[in-house]
Amino acid sequence: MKINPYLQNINKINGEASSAKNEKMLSAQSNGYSSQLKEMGVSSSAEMQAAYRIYKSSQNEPTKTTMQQTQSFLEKMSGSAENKLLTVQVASAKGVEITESNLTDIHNALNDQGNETMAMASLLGEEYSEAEGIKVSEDAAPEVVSKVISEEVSEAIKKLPEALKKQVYAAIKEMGFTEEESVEIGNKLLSGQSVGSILSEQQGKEITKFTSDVLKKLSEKNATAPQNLLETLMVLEGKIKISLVKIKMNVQTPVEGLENLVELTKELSWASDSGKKASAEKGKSQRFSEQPISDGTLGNVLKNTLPINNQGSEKTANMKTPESIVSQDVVQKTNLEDAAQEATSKDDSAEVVKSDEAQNLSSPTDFLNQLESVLEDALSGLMSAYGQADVQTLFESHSLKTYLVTEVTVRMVEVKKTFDQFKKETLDAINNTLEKPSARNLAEIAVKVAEKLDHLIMQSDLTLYTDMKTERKLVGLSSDLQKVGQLAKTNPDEAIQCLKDIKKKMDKLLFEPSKEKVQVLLKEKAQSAVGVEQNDLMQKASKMGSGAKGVLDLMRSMGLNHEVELMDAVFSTESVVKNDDTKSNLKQILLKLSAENQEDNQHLIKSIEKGLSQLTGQQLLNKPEVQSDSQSLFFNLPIKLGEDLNQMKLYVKARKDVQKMDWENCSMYFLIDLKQYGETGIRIQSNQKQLSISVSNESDQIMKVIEPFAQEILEELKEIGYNPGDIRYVPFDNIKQVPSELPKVDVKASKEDTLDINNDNLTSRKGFELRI
Amino acid sequence: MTRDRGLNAYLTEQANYEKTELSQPDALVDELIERAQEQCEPLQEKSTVKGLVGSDLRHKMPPQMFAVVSSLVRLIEKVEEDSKR
Repeated sequence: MKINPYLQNINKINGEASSAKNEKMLSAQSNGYSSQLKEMGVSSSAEMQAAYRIYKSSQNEPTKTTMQQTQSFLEKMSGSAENKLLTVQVASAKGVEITESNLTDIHNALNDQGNETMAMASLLGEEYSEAEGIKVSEDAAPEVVSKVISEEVSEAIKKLPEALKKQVYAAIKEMGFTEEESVEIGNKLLSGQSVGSILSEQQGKEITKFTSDVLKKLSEKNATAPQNLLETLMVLEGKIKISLVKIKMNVQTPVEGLENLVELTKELSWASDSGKKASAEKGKSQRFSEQPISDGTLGNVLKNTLPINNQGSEKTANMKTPESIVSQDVVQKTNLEDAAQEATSKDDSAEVVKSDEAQNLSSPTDFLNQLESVLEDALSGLMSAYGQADVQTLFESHSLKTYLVTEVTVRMVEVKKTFDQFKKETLDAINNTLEKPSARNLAEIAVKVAEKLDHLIMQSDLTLYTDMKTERKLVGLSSDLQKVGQLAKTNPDEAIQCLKDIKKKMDKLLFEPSKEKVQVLLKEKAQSAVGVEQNDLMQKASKMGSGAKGVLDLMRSMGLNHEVELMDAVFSTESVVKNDDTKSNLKQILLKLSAENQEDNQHLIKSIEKGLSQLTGQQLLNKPEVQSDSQSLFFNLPIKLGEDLNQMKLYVKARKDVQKMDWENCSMYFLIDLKQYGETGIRIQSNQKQLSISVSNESDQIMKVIEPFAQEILEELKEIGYNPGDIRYVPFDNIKQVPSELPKVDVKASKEDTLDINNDNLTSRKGFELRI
Repeated sequence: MTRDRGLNAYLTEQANYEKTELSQPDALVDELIERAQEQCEPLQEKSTVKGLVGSDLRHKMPPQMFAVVSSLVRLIEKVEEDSKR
């Protein structure tokens, strides 16, 4: 890396010069602390004296223990004295407890050249362990993967039909293996683990074909069991992961899923109708029961996919196209209509929410019709993604299709209900405020609704199903609400007008599932159900560009929030619902592996520890800065560019108000090594929402490649509440002359930009000085 | 919904943790480590965990900042994709 802006950032926080920049300065720093260090019984080397000075200047009077821990770190950690002292300086400035372990973690996070975390992440997702450019120990991969799934596998193998297991073991034995070896190889094969090192290529092919045949026979014999999925699995990926299929199918059976859906649909119907004026509603609303779901609607999809005891109907699940999947004749009545009937009687007696105007909530029937259309398209997309033949085979499994449709539908109905409820409450609250628009009321509603909205965007499943445009609209509304809060005291009239605009925007906003996102979810669930899913972290890495929540989800998958979430889980008085959010994160997995691998493979243990250290270092660097009114963060994120896995460093600094960082006054610096254009730095600085963006790169081509997309990105930033200026292009090396053809480049400014991602004004309430 | 209740419970609990954390960080971390052990969730040493429990990314960074990161990632993805043509 050409510069280390984060470290300069920390120096600025402390109001200290870049003290550890070179050996000369190091020497100047180290004068005069020899006697104190000798008294403590620790080394009085120049480095130790420099460290002592750093602690003192951070107003942390160094203790004997502190200096002992520092000495251990300085002696054991490889690298230059300069870098190690920078680590000491960062740790001290952030107020991290000075221990050898903490210093090592921070050092590893800041100096992550080996890409170890990425390697560990890849290692845990089999498909990516072979990706180009990722340094993964070939020895380590199977061990790690095997450890992670070992419990699931052993459980799943126990549940397999004995007949199948015996036939597989016998076939392997015929190849010349002992009985014990046959069982071992057979179990590995059945659990999807690699047997390449044990079996020859020919043997591998033979046994795979044999197992496939056995499974096929089994599935023919027992049509109600999901075993025929296993054959599909082999067709799709050539792997056998019975364990995951079994486990996933057991998590939520289609019947349970449907029951949930029926319950939710009742509530949905009630929630939607209750928001409307009673007089307008009577006899007019398209309520669930009044307009029974006709053939070809979602109701039929669910009916068709409902697992039933009738053997004949099971066979009718052999469908050739997605259209036929959703329009298949009803074979058996479900209790969906009954549920709808119940919902109606419940609705009639329900208390009608008093509201002066009908709120624009989509009716359940409209929504279900829309859902049907989205699911049709998504299933169709899934088909083209896999290839017609494979998907036909895939959907021959009645259970899988049912599982997919009910799982996704249940969650979408759930999200829709949450969204409608939020919308209704918000509009009611806004109406009440507009009736009595005092400064206090305006400020209060702005804070409360913005908080709820932020929560909805970042912590509900809403944005999993909506498109990016809708997410940006919601983020934009959150920004507008904050504006109301700011204007409430200074300009109440403008605040009222702003709130009225928010009300209009909110009223127009409907929950509309995005076909693309639903397709991605269906695909993931299909992959997950047949056990060929990507590792969760890798899925998240490829979704970082899908919106704000995608970024947070990736960070959580890495385990950067692990301890806080664990605290939530272990202290929570209410049982936390098991959902995707509770999937194991990378750090959690590494901690478990670390605890289990005490004396095995040293190389593996070292890799795990390094990965853990880098993640922990990032967390320590994100520690709250209690004494300061600004907060800095550091992330080293995996980013999936096409098929390649890359890493992106992200440095963030912002003013902070109580807990939350101030998005209106913040600075972000992205650093990434692009395959074709090399190291690229992008700096975004916001001063009272005015954005200045600069791109640093050595290549002359960078402007040409970015410009075609620039307008679109700037437009997006505008939608979420910023006022972006143009993008400037500046070289990394500020000594080099800036090419004359580059527009709007101020050499002086670019020099400062390149060297300093921060702005001292961040710590001031007055905001930034504009440079453009 | 159950999930919302869970999240609301989280926010309440989190507020309590923050208050507790400021006054009794050691006791809180001790309890966390103990309870995590009961649930077979290994954690790092206490001095490290202490530095990790006070910061929740879900609340620290507002959605606007996450959205900026996402937009920039999309720009990078487009540039990379374009360079392959």
